[in-house]
Amino acid sequence: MNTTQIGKISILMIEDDKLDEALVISTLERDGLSFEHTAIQNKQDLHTLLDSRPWDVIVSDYNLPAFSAYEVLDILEANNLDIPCIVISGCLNEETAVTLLKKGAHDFIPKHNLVRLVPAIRREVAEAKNRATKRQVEQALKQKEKLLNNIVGALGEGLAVTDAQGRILFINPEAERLLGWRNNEVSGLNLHRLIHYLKADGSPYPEQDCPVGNYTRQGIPYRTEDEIFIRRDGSFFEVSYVATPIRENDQVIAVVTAFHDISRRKQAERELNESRCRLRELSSFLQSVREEERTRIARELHDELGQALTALKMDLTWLLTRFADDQDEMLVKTDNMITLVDSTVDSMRRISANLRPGLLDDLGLAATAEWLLAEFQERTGVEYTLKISHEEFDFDNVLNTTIFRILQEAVTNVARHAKASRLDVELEDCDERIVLSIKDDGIGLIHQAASANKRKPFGLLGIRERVTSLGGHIDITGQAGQGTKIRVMLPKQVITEPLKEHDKSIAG
Amino acid sequence: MIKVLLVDDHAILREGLKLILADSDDIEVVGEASDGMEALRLMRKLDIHVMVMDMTMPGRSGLELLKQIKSDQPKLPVLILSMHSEEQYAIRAYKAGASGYLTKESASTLLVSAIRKAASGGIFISPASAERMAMEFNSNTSSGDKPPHTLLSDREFQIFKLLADGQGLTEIANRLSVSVKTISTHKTHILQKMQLTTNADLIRYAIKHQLLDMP
Repeated sequence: MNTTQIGKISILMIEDDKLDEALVISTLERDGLSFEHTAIQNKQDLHTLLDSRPWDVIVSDYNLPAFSAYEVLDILEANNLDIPCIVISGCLNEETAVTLLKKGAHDFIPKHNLVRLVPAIRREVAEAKNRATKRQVEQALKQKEKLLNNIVGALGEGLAVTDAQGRILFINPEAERLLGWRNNEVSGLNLHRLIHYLKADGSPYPEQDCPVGNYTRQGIPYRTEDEIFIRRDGSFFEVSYVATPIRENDQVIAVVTAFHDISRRKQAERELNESRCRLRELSSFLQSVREEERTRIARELHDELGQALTALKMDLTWLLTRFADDQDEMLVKTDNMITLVDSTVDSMRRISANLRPGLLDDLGLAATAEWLLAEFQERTGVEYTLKISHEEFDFDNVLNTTIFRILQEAVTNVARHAKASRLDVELEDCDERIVLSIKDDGIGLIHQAASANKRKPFGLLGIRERVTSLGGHIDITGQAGQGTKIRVMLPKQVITEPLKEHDKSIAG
Repeated sequence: MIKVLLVDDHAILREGLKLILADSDDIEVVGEASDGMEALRLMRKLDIHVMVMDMTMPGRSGLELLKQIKSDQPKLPVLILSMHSEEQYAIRAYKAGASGYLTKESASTLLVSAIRKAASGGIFISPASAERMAMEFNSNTSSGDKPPHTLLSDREFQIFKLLADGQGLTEIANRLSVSVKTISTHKTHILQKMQLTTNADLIRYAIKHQLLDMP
């Protein structure tokens, strides 16, 4: 016992008999209690003194003319005061004692035998102190809990706490709002079977398949953004949640699931993907329209205009030999006309090939690649090699066009920015796919990116777009000083839904 | 007399070709076709020595048609006439069995000699394309070892250099004190001998072989 810590004990004594008062005090002094006391005789004084300061103990005579110990106890209770009250009485009556004790008196001591008084005071003061401490702790705890409740209640995130078996212990107001259930309706119910019984695709989600249990049993939090929670009314929402185990002594005692509704975000993602998809479709449609248009114009230029010019030249050439000796002027004019027709045919050829080389449609990819690279070498002086796995390399129009345009873009890039002296191109026809590799020994893409004009990224973007829309794959590596390497893989069979894979990778 | 079948879907071009060939006494156009089917029909019906055929025609591609003709009548020389100047076309035409490949605008100068060469069982390759195709076809071509300009007479070579220098017919005529018509005739011969097609070809050739007098 820590009675030594109790300093001077303040005693409020209720006693009308001065002799009795002296008797009690002498007992207290005799038994070595360090105390101070105030004696009163009526209710009025009691109220005044209780209000004026704290008291450690009340020692009350059982029967006073003005009022009784019962009333003292009533006043204490009414004022919510936990002051130990020890009753002293001259007449020993067991029944009275029991009644008083029931009423809240802490001890009952006969006036003629005060031996127990000091021990009783010490004991009761100590216990009252303990009670006070306990009350303080409880109050602090209560305040903390209240704060926690307020936080949990104010949280913009749904919280569901379950025990280790998945039974709901508690859901917070946001969870109530999201799920349509009240906390008191769901406590004790199995959380999975209540709100998690369907997968995102609408198929049943058996509890043993739910990863939450598995993860949390091992003490690992489980998080996902690909599932749904079902509301009370049967509707559902896409959810992002983290289920975190709470452990005590290496035992999972509860799981806290924090979640929020991400339907809107998911919807926005879907719309974004859809719009991306449509853009890609549009771009590929525009691409093919442009290509068709170019093909048509190139062909008409080449065949119709070209043939007409050629026929014109034949006639002019014929005319040239028909002039008489004195028709110099006409002869010179005609000769000039032939030169003009020749240069016009040249321009026509250049324009037509720039639009789309007829080679691609007439002779296929291999011949066009040869031509493109030979032209490139003639124009830039860059040496090239072209390795082709089959002599005649030809696919459907879309693939032919794509591969040619990629090669053309790459070659243009090399000519413009790479400062290369060598270009190696390889076209490989594997069983399922076509592999195009383009390698130069220039300054590398990284340097190019810094020095290139604004058009270049668009060129690369265009290549990527073309490849993606055909379900292919492209790798571009360009370490500074090590040249640029482009590797394109294209499936021969164009996958009908090439966007799915791609979109997944974006989402993931 | 070399009997020739012309195959081209452009009537206007066939007219031009006939005009070119009309000046040669040893060449006669015995038939004309505007598509592959007709060409095959006439080839079987007529007794022809050389077929002159467009590369790109509606329907069957020229190359396909060429392969069919060569499997039908392997000995019939076929000259391919085309709007396409890229040697990829020429290479594939030769591989498919063509006896010659000419661009249409070179017809005025080269067609007659090409037909003669083909009729005699040879392969006609213009020096320009021979050079380009050197990788694929080696020296046994019509170009031989001598560069074509060595075939020119002194007078022709003189005029060739002036033409390559960019001088006009009148200028050259004045300078050499002959008529413009004479120069024009010389020019035609020069182009034919050197198997070149245009003024631009001529200039390119001169630069390539360093035949220009540096001022």
